Amino acid sequence: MKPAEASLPSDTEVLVKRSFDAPVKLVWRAYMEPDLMRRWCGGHPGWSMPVCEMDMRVGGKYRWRWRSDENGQEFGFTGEVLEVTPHAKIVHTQIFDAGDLGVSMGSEPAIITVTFHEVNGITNVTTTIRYASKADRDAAFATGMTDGMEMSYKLLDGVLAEG
Amino acid sequence: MKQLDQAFAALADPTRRGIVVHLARGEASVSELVGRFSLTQPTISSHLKVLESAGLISRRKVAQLRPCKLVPERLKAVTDWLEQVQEIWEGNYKRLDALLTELKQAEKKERKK
Repeated sequence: MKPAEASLPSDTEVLVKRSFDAPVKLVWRAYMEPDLMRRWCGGHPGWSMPVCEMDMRVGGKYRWRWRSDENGQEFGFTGEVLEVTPHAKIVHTQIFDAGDLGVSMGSEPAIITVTFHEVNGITNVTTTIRYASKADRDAAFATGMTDGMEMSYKLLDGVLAEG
Repeated sequence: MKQLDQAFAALADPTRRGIVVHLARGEASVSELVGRFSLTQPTISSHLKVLESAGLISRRKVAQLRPCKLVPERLKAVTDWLEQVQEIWEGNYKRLDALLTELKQAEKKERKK
């Protein structure tokens, strides 16, 4: 599968696209079941995911927390589920919990919309992160957690085009 | 951080990326860049102004000339940051790929039973 593709559709949004070689019902499970979620959302080298609680019903809450193996510092995300359309769409809020990392990522919740669309056994997933304001987006930008990939591809394109 | 944001915005433009790549090979004057990119002097100058305020290039004063030079530390800060972001995204998705392969196999086994 091609690597994730990100773009900046507006001043306050980041869109990430990726395809997966699996039917949508399996991809959906990986997003809905905490035990599965933990396997791929956690597991970043050097970090454990001690908290991965999810109640993926409309009005349900979730809480994700990562801990650094090196120094025990933690950060996480929390939020509330706004919309669930099985095998098609999840919308939830997201608040960055800086824990003891001491970085800020905006105070108002961002709205995350994830869509799933299966074509011939391949599932296309889009993730739109809509920040409450441009200032919040810039704060997220600065922490290096969410966007910037579009820029990296553009940079790379530029370098490659130069040959 | 503001300068890093500025650097991203500056590098989002193909001409400015071209200028950066050109300057990676060494110092150049405005007139050299004008010739290289077939753009007017004011256009090149405005691109240089953006790159300079983002801290990506520096300009010396030599008589009337103001040769431009890349500031490699700034560019490295940008590429390091991008590599880190990319690692996080692709890291997650690759683990998801592996998990999905496992789930597919488990399903196949289940069907055979």
